[in-house]
Amino acid sequence: MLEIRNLHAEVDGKPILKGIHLKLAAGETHAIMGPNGSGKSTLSQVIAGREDYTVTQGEIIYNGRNILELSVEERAREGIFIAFQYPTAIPGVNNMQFLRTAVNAIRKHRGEKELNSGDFLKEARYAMQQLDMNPEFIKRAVNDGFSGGEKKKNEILQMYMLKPRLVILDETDSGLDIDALQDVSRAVNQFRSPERSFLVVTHYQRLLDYIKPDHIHVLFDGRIVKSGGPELALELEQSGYDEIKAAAVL
Amino acid sequence: MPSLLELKLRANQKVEQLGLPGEHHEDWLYTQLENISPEIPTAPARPGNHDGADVYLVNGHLVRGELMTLEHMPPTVISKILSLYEREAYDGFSSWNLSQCDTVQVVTAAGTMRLHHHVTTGRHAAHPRLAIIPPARSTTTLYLRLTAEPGESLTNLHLLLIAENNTKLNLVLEQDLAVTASSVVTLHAIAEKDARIEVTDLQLSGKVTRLTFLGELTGAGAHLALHGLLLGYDARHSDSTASIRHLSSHTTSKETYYSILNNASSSAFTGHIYVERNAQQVDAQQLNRSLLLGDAARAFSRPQLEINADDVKCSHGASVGRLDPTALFYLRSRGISQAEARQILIEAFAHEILAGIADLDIRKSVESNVKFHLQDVAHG
Repeated sequence: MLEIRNLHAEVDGKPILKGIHLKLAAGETHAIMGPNGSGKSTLSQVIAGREDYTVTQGEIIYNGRNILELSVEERAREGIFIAFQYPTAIPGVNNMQFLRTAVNAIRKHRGEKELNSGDFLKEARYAMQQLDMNPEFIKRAVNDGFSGGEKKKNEILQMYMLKPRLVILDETDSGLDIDALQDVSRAVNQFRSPERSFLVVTHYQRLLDYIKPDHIHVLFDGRIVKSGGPELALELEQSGYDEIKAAAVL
Repeated sequence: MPSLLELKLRANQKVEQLGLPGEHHEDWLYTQLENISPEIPTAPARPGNHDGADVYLVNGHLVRGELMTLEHMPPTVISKILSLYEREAYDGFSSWNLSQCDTVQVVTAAGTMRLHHHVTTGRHAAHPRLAIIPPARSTTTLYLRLTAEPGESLTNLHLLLIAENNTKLNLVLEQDLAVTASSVVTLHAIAEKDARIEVTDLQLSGKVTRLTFLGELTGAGAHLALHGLLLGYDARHSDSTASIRHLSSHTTSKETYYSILNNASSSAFTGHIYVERNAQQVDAQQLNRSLLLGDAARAFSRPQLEINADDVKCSHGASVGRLDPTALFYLRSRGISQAEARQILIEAFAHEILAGIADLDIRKSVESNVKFHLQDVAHG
């Protein structure tokens, strides 16, 4: 599904990613953990196609194709979805109008018929119910005046509606109380399938209690310094990132 | 009290003496009306095909619908209107209008009314003059659309709005001319005790469009709102020069103007708020935001506060910026194309002004006209 080869990226001339290698097979869930400033969010944004970052070396192969040449919207249409750490509020843009435009842009790309507003609303209402979201949120402006938890749920609602193949959850647990964390995790787990892969980016082990990864990678100073099974999260929880940092300095 | 004819003669003399204002006048600094002078002939009466409006005027003359003329009004109304005309400060265009207008058309009925003024092709000026004075304690909504065919014409409209005690008066004014035609609207609005006036000024198309607004709050509890949307593309210029005068205590006003500009277009907003001495407990808010889509587009913003009382709340804010790249990225990250994402954000910006139009049918008509022109604005 996804293979990242020797990825280097910088912002404003400052190198952030310094040679990332990663392989994610269809149906797998991998977690990227690491201390603040290690490059976790940059990795997510570079995969999504943010133009503020410059890729200086390496490749991102998605379904057999190097996607570095694709624009952000082309990547989204190919099935890459990022649930943002800080979802943007867009006053004046209705959540339903936005989401329906997005759903239909992606359906059109896949050669599917556009959803009419009745069918769209039916599906959105069901998804919102699954997320324990107030149905009124679909009528409001995108993320405008939403609490932290509501914004994260709105990201997951978009994931539900857009039906991506590769989902990147960028610090989705930050700012969530335990109830919202459970709602979001349940929705993500229901969405897992043999054709779909997840990259869960998180600072803490807490989220991984709910969304169980197959593999964990530890990112530090722009490189993956350690990889392992789910047990790695518990080790990190006990020892913190200090050991990793010390080892990397050596 | 001078008669209408005497006022017209006086206005004519003044225009001959002083001419029209230009860039040497502070309030007209940014409104460049080249080739416009009082020598331009008055547009002739013409028939026209109306578009379903209740009242249709062509070149300043009533073609369809019913409006009273000033001479048929009760004496109290006549003297009220004439005394307001008499004390209006000279600004050239308003006097030119008075000297050339055929008659004063008066709207006295409450309710909702659609009016359309159209100027035919040619190098001429139309000088419609309307006075709106609905019954006290009524609610009136007017949608006035100004259009002009291609040609170097000028629509020189004068509007007087009088909201007497407890009256609600809403006006949606749309300037939507062919790209070679220009318009200048002088709007004098008076909100008396507990009256509310809401004006939405939409300047969508035309070579130069302008609103010169004089708002007066003369009684306690009066409220005046002026919202505007100025669209620009090519080399078009739009202008709002507004003076809101709080002449009584316990009065409130709100002024919100948004500009969306592409290519080498420009907009100017001058918002003057005046609070009379001893007019206490006044609340006046002003906001001007401009969205620049083209590198050569320019937005001028001039807030002016003149406050002579001490228990007053006044706020003003101005911002000029480009489309938010974070919002664009967010929309695109969901599969929406860059062009469509831009269009969505531009429409959302405009919508903040249109959302204030309370009459849903009128809002719908306006939205479709705005959307049409926003395509030109977005693509440049």
